[in-house]
Amino acid sequence: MRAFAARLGCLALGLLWLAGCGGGPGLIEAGAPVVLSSTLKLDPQIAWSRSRSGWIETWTVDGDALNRLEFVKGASNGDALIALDLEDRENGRSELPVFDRGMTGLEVHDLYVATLSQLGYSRIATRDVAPWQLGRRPGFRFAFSHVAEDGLEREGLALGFFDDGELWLVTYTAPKVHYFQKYRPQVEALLSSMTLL
Amino acid sequence: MRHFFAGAVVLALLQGCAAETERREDRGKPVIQAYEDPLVRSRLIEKTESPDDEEDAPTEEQARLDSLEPGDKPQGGSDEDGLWMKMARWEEDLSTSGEVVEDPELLAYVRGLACRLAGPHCPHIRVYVISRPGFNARMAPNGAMEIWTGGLLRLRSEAELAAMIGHELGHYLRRHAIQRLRSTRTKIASFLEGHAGTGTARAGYRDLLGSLSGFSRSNEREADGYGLQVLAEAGYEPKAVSELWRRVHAEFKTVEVYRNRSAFYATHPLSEERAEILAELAEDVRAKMAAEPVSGRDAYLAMIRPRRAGYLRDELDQRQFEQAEALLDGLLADDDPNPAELHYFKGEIHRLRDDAGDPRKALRSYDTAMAAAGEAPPELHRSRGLLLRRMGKGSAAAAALAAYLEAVPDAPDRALVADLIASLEGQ
Repeated sequence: MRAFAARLGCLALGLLWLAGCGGGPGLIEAGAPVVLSSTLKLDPQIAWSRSRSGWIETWTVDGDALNRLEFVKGASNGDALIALDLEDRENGRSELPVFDRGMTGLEVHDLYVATLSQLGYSRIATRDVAPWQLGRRPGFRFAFSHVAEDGLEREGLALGFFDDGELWLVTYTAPKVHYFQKYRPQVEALLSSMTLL
Repeated sequence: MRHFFAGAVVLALLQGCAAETERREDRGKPVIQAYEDPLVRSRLIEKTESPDDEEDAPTEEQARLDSLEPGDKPQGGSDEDGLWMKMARWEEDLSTSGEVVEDPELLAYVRGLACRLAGPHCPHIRVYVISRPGFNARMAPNGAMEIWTGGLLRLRSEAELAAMIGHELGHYLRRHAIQRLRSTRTKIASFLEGHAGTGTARAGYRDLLGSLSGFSRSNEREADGYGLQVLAEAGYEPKAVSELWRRVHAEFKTVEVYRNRSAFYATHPLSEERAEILAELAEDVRAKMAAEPVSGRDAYLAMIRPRRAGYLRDELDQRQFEQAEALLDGLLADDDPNPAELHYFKGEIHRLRDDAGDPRKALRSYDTAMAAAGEAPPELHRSRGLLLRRMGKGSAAAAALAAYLEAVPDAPDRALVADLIASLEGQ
């Protein structure tokens, strides 16, 4: 019986570890600071649903087709900038272009555009491509827009910085009609709250 | 099984293509009659029939189908009517897709040619240009045609565009989609009957899927023949058909992974033999033409040239470098009027791939582009600057990036480029 209890305890600990690190769905509570990969701290003003897949984490309020925050948490050589979903994989999109540690902000910008193109988005445009930094970490920002195969036009913001050669990239994407503006103040407040630990 | 059947139907309806064409007004008889010219038809079939084609041979029912007359619509409640309704919904989605090109000049050109080729069928044909890399064109049974910008990128002349459109019109006028649907239905019924309880369903299913991908070879041959005929009737060079097939085959066979994924390859079992047969037929057709055929190369290049850099960028975004290189080498070998642009994109392949030896090759291509005839995109300086920085040549990189800002004063990335220049100069 004691052996069974020990095994059960190990299993519970394993599940807890998986829940914390593996990336099942979760909830980001309003007003409760969040720390990503022991590196980036954020103060959300509203609640978000959260899902994680490897080095990429996605937050949404109304569903990721309607508003989506994506965090690339320290990409290294060979890492893509967007997590493929099932539909992408079913459409044969399995090999996205990847980051390497020698890239500049300009090259990451180009990489992001190529990724969107490969995912089937059209009329991809970027603007306000400019330097940015978080603390002392050099970075960049840009705004973008694109149209999906279903005709839906989306807008987005991107902020990125390099931490010891690894890329951190935060993007916010939402349909231009209604949804992009809907949470824009909360998103901008969230991005402004980002601090390095 | 219901989903499988629906998928098979859609596959059967949306066929990738590319082929030949032309108008028939000059002969004063309807297109399909012209195609059905017994001489051309019998020679085409004789030259392309092979023993393993038996499975593809039209059934008696398929062979009985009449060609569409201008304005023909399916009988209400028929299977063909259902097919058209399904495709009408597809077309509605397509027309609002983000991929639809809204370029009035280009659309007028492509649609004008399609209309000329379709003759009396013109009012019933709707052509959409789709912003998508890769070589393809598709025809729905209700008269909606899709031409990809990746296809336009690979054509060399108006004659080749006519070839592509004419082939697609052949599928429409000969009602290949409903032929395919009925054949599919028969095959599924036969599959279900043949494998029930036999334990061989998995192998049979795989064979079935293989036989349902795209139009049949006999459909493709018929479209080939139709395309060739109308191409000649419009006065275009009949050899354009085989040249197009041969070139595209040479490009696409370079990349195994792409070949497996390509809609084009899924629906067009290409072979050099097919190109050879079409070349022979072209000689026959050419000999019967009253006037010297034209290629329309200048008109075509004038239309495509200002748009080509965007199409090439789309190709590169797919990161299929070997295939993109084969495409560029093919264009360069064909007396292209703007080699500077092509050398720039060759440099981009090497810079982005970044394998051993690539940086030097990229630099060489950029230098060649700057010295070549034509005009490379001003982004060449930006790319060259990024490359030089990677190669550890900071001051040269800064100079190249400065040249970019000078060439594109309102560049959307000006601030970030200027920041990088400052950083390079500070090193």
